[in-house]
Amino acid sequence: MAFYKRKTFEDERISNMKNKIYAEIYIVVVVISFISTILKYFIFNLGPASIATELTILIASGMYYLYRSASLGIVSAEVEMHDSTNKWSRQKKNILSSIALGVGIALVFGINSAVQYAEGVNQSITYFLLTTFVSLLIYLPFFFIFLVVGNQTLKKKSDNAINKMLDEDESGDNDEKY
Amino acid sequence: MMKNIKLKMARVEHDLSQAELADRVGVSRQTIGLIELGKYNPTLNLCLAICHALGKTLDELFWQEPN
Repeated sequence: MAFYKRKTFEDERISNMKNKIYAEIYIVVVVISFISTILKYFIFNLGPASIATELTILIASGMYYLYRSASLGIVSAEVEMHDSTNKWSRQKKNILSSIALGVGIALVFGINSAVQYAEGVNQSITYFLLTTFVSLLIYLPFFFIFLVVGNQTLKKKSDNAINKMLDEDESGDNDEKY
Repeated sequence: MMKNIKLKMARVEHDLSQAELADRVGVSRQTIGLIELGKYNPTLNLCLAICHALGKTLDELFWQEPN
């Protein structure tokens, strides 16, 4: 009989499989919330209050992921990897996405306004131009702030976090070769 | 975890920065930095990729004597 306690290691296979299951659970929760939102709001017309829980789950989990990935320095590494392997930088893609989304939504609202509420060709054009212009003024800055400024802020926070982790090397080593 | 001085030495031998080694291996610069500092425990696959990039064996870069 051994009188010493054997040094035990955490079984990596079990931990990795568990983490994989947790990731799958997250996808299941998101899918269920999404389906529930569609059914309650669009099929049964239960109103916005009925989907508050689902929206909270979707938004809060997304926010938590963003916060954790920024505070662990993952965002910086992801952006660096993306920029080194893609022709267009993440920043450029975000700017273009924000413009595309802003213009896209403005056009949808403009067309909707012209088709639904205008009478005659002249009024349709006026409504289309007016609604598109106002929507652009609202949604272009919104998506720009949300996608471009938001991503930059996250990256800055992530840069600070990872630099802090890497700077904790007391020998003062950094990315230099020597 | 202990710092991986052997990895750093091998990288310097090849006149590579962390970013250059990371690029060869296909990971981020931060990952190489954290492995050298002993703050990230790489998988066997990543260890092998680093060994292949630096022309070293697992023994030469990652072996630690039992405590």
